[in-house]
Amino acid sequence: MMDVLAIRKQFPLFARRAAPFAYLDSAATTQKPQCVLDALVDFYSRRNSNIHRGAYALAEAATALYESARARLARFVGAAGAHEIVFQKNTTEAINLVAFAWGREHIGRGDEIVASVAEHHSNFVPWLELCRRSGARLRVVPLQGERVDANAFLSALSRKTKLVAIHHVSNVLGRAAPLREITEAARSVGARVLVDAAQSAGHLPLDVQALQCDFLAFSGHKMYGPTGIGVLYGRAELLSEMPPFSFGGGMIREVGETAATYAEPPRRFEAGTPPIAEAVALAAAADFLDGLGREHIAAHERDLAAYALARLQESEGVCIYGGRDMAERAGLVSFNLRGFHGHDVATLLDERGIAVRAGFHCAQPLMRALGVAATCRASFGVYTLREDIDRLADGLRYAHSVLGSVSS
Amino acid sequence: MTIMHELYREHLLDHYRHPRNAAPLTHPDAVAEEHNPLCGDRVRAEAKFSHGRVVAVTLETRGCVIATAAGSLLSEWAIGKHPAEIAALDYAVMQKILGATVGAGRAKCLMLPLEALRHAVGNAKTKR
Repeated sequence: MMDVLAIRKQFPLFARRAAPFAYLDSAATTQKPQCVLDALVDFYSRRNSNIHRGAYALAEAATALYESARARLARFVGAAGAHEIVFQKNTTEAINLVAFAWGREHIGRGDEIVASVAEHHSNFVPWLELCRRSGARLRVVPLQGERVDANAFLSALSRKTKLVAIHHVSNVLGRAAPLREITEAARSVGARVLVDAAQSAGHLPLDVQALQCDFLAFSGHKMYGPTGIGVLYGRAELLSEMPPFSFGGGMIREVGETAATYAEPPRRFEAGTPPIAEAVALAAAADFLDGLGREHIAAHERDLAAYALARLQESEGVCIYGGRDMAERAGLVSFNLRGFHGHDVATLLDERGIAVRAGFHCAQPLMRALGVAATCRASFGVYTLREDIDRLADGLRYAHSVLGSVSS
Repeated sequence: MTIMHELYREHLLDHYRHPRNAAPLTHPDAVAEEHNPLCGDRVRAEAKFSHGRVVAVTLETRGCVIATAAGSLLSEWAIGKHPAEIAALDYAVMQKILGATVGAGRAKCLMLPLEALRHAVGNAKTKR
């Protein structure tokens, strides 16, 4: 068991609030522990320099820090080496890099990309757009009973499938997809697999060798790190055959007046000055997570999810999405107060010091599949207490009493 | 239980639970619909005119408290007004009509009924 009260003390945002504050929006972004803030401040106050080619000690030290952050993130996901880690702005940019650089070379007319209907727009719109440009087809796998089902996925795969794009944990359904079955089936038809790990990187153990995926993308700010940095893991042989997508300084080998040649991965994909301090702080976030133990974090958040499902089910008029059982459940729960608008519910909860997100969660195809315009979502982190969920249940009772029993 | 939030005072909740002028008009001169794909809110606006003024309005809103109450209060406000007065309404005046401050995060909820009504009135003008 984790000592959540001790962990909370490491987060200045909680320490600075006088009134109790139930922050239940960690799926949108996590709060930041002091060690991550310290890493940012330390870099800027003692180590700040641009990286690469600076022939002075400070620049060499900054370069070493940036590259050791890359190695740290490689260990964080179980990559074969630092050369498989590309720093990007966030999950969205990482997926777009694959769509543009890998997709341009490997996806053409008649090919198919397979994605679940539950993908976040960042793992959906880049593929829609790639298909529009290339003449390929995006096959969208429907839900089976509000969950992603391996068999439904398997029947969508064929020799035409060139890529499978799938989330690790859904940002709405709050459940892990059956990745092992999906990656195995994708390999059997010769397709590549990209995993959107935005909702798992800060919450579950992550091992690209065990997942058998080709690409994996995640954001720093959803795993206790800073905004402005994310990671694309790509298997070395795939990265090395990918052309660059963004051009400029830092990514070249040699530039002439009529042509240029490009650096090896991962630098080939990091044009311009990268987010150096953010990379260093992201490595600190990885240390923070592994210091707590990702198995322990996962167990803590599963316990919270089970507790939240139980508390919400006993609340009047609450409708839960993504199923009520605990199989593959992660630390987030989507729900609505039947008959009431999620925005009204979220505003009334906010008044009671409870922060939840309401809306379509960048997942409009999924909202349509669920038959709702929007949901409320409570999502958990290392600092979340059972008391936060009790406050949510009380808050929902309050919202229900304010909005009355008239259905809209 | 006391309700602290000014958006959820009894006055606005009453307009939410019992929206005024929400029943369809017979033979309206103008009709328009607006919806917000971001949250699923939907407003259907109908209007009748006489001597250049609005004499009857329907704003049928399916949405949150703010959108529904704003539609109800706007429908009451609009009766007897000239189309130019409706066209001149803005965010600040809509907050006055609602009687509450609406933050940027919910601005679209407040403005959706007005957009539908403006659209309807604009359609009618082009017809004449």
